[in-house]
Amino acid sequence: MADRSQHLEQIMENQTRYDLNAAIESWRQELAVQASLTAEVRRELETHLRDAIAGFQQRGLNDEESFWLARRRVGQPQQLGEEFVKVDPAKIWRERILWAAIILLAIRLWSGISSVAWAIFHVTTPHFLNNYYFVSPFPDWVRFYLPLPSNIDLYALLFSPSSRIVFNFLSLLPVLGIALLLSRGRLNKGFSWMQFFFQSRRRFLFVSATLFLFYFLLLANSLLRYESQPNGPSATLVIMANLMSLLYPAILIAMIAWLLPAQNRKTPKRA
Amino acid sequence: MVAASAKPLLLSILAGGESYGYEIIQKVRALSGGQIEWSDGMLYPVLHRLERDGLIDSEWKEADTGRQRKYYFINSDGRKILKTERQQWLTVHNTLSKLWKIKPVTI
Repeated sequence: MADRSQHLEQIMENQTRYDLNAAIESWRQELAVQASLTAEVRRELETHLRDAIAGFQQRGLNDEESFWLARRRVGQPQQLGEEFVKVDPAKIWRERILWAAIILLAIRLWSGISSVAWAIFHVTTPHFLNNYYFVSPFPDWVRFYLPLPSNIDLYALLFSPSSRIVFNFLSLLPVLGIALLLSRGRLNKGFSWMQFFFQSRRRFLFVSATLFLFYFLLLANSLLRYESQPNGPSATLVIMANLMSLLYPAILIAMIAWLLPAQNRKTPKRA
Repeated sequence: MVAASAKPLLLSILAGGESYGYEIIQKVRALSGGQIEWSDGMLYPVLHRLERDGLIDSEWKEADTGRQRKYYFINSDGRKILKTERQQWLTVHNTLSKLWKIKPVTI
């Protein structure tokens, strides 16, 4: 009997156990509302909070008590935000412009991917691609892979030029939503792998330069084989327009690299 | 905590070796016998200001526990400033001591 009641007690305890990780997560979101607290500052404050919690736990306090005391020690998020504005008022704007540039690049990347996907789906009307003045950098065999849709009416509806604009716009919405949530410090769980690219300026430049070069080679390959149509614009114009379209992502990449905080210095100057 | 004294305090602590926010707070608390109680979070704006002014540097490093922490180091400019700060605070200290010896405060 005694054994059973002990067992029951244990169950009760487990059920009412304080979820420390959830508490820390909601605290993190409170911090994220403050625009002046950059991701790095929030990370620093979180390590402090965790250290303080561990300190209280060592003194024999339970999870909930430790969390609340540590939270009070660290201070009001709003007050912290106000203090950090004074440190570097321009920092908020640098961070905002950085996010805007990242969002624009993501949209650019996504619309590139979706227009390629569109070209792949668009198997039955090759004239569409011929009228398209921006050359597809992808080889023709890509177009042979997809099965033909059986319902012709639905197909015509889906692939009309106006629905293409609507689809392009709609396909951008998830990217925009994800980027906005990320910039607010939400959604950190599933997207922590993305930090890999932005951890240091050098890594970001290396990865984006590699992708950029890859795309450039594909594009150059198809541009070299481009022949102008009788009624279309001249070959030089098409080639120039395609090369100019590379300028915009290049500027965005340079801007992000410039605005990224120069972290991960391996050897700080020491006196 | 008076902002003016935070600068020499932090620079002096970092002159004794690299440290991170939580440890610095504990040190200040212990050294002052609990008399100086900083609000923990308010330490960070001060540290970041010192870093912006080029007196200290920082680096994320992994602690023995496997947890990442941001460590702060004093640099040569910081040491120079600490030297002049020290001079100023000693001057104030000496002056006040003399004044208070001449006219002791009666409770």
